[in-house]
Amino acid sequence: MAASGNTGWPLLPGGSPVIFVTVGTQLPFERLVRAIDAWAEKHPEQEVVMQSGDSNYLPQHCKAIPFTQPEEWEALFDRAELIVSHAGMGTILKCLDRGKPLIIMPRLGSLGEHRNDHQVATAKRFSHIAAIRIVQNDDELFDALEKPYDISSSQDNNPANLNQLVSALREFILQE
Amino acid sequence: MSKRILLVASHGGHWVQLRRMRAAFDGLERHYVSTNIGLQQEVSPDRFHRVPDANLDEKLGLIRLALAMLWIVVKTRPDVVCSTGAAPGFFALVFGKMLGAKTIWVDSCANAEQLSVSGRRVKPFADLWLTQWPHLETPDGPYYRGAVL
Repeated sequence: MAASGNTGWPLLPGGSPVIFVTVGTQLPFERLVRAIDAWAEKHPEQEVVMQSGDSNYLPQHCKAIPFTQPEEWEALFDRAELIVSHAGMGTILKCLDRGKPLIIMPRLGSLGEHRNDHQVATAKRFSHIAAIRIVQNDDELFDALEKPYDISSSQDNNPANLNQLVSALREFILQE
Repeated sequence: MSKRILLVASHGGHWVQLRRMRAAFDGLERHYVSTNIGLQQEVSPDRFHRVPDANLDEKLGLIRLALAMLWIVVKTRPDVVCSTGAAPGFFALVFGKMLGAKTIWVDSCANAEQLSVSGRRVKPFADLWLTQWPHLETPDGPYYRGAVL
């Protein structure tokens, strides 16, 4: 099995990661990487796998893969029971699609984690969905990680909007 | 004969959104285009074409992407081109429009505050120019006709 990045952890570990953390590929998000590692240290019983991106801090207490191929990412995502992520639209949509509960920690422009605070605005737009919880700092993250989550309502995005879009596209595509 | 459609999105959020609206493309001859070959499996047996990734700051990358997209559009001769973004979709609509295809742009719902950069630039090449946020709709477009969420 091939090792990836500089952590030496194997790809696609045989065990079943119960929590999958993903920070995306574009920018580092060290605040989340450190917080997850700190939490994992206190919860050795909990399997945590992290796609940690470009981070100077190397996690010591959970498996960390800096960058994943799409199929690795999918496999890790599929095995997870809980996802933790920055406010990346791809991850948010995947979670809604597959009914996975999600904890979002938005990147803050003020901390240099992104160009601006648009991730805060993005996260807010999903705050009405029960299976998506938004945390702003380490304490809120630890809190959310320890509270049970409600998987039954994770599909409550609005199918009416999607149906409307599909009909509009279909009508446009099929008209001569 | 069924219509041929070229479905274009960069890997990540753009791709997930394009796939969420796939019921709209039932019964068509579908050709997907994205930036990561790992996605081929997901859409099989539909056709899949890979293009190099590029963003608007890399001139050389953009030229390579544009040439790759031009070749795909010339080769597949789609009746319809549809994209959620970003740079690959922009070029797909430009070349699609030039070669007589009907073009659709559905701007990513990640752009809740304003339309994406490629979304704004693609306007003259989009026959159907959509935003996924009602508050971004204007009388001259983009229009709101539903959303993937």
